[in-house]
Amino acid sequence: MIVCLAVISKANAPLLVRTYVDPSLGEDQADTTIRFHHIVHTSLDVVQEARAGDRHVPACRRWCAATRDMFLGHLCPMDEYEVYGYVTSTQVKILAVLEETVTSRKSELAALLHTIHGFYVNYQLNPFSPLNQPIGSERFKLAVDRQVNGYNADIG
Amino acid sequence: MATSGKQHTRLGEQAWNKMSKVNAEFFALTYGAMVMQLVQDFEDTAAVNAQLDTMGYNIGVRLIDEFLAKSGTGACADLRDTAETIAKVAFKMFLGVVAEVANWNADGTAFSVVLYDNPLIEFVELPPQHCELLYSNVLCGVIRGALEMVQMKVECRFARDVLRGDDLNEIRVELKEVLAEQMDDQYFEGM
Repeated sequence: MIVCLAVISKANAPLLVRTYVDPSLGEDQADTTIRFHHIVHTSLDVVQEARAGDRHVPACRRWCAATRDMFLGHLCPMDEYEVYGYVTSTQVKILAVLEETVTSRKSELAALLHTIHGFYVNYQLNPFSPLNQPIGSERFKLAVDRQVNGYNADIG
Repeated sequence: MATSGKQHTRLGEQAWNKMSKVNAEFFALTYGAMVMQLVQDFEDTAAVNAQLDTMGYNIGVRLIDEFLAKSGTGACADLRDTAETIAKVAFKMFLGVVAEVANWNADGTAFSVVLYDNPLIEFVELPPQHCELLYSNVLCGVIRGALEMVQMKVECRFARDVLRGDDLNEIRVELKEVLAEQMDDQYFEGM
């Protein structure tokens, strides 16, 4: 199941970090958030590496790769979690931190991140949305939460 | 010429088919950029609302001629006819959506144009610091300006707004007076 979902700006600043940890486990909400900030921050290096690897590919192919598949797949294991990434053509990163209870279903995760990318696009189209600043939109948060909770419920 | 509601709808469809179209996202984003510029230029939300209304007025006084020329509607018999024409023909022709007329007052001098689908607000979510902003206030100005050109002085305001948490958009239109046809000063000077 997904325990954290983060949207990171082009300049690697966190725009939104949502955590989905059962509060009954007794961890303080602020502690959880900081812990996942740390995990997400560390994984950004791997995203950068994954993208640096692209440079060996000719420019035209790189463009195709960028448009067709922005889902980077599994990035790295981190403590007891697995981090998956998605990078848009404008270098906005969407990272999902998963707790591996069952074997992950990659295609569904890719679809989920793609949907969230769609929400982000709609959020950006709102003339009141500030660019490259933390996301305050309740509508966006709600849409993301609903998708992630739906995914978590499906996976069980 | 009192036309039934169906006829208005048909006229609206015909007018809509004749109009040249523009991409809805482009339209919504252009309007959004304009509103944002106003918000930045005027610190006060009330001033922004007034400015939007004035802009709408200036659009309306020009748009009415285009509307009467292209829509194929004749002179309206009464205010009910006018209201139906605005909702079913004008909104369809220029925005591609049909509005409903509702909430007549007892004297038949005030009505509401109810808009279920507003293309201007497609992507918009008002942040808390702008909760008093009437984002689509330009529509009020357009109605006011257009009706003034056909001798009707009305007051228009947004009574309900989806962006402010209501379930639909409602523009309240109140008829203040019917202006008499009169000669302007230039005419008398010439005598």
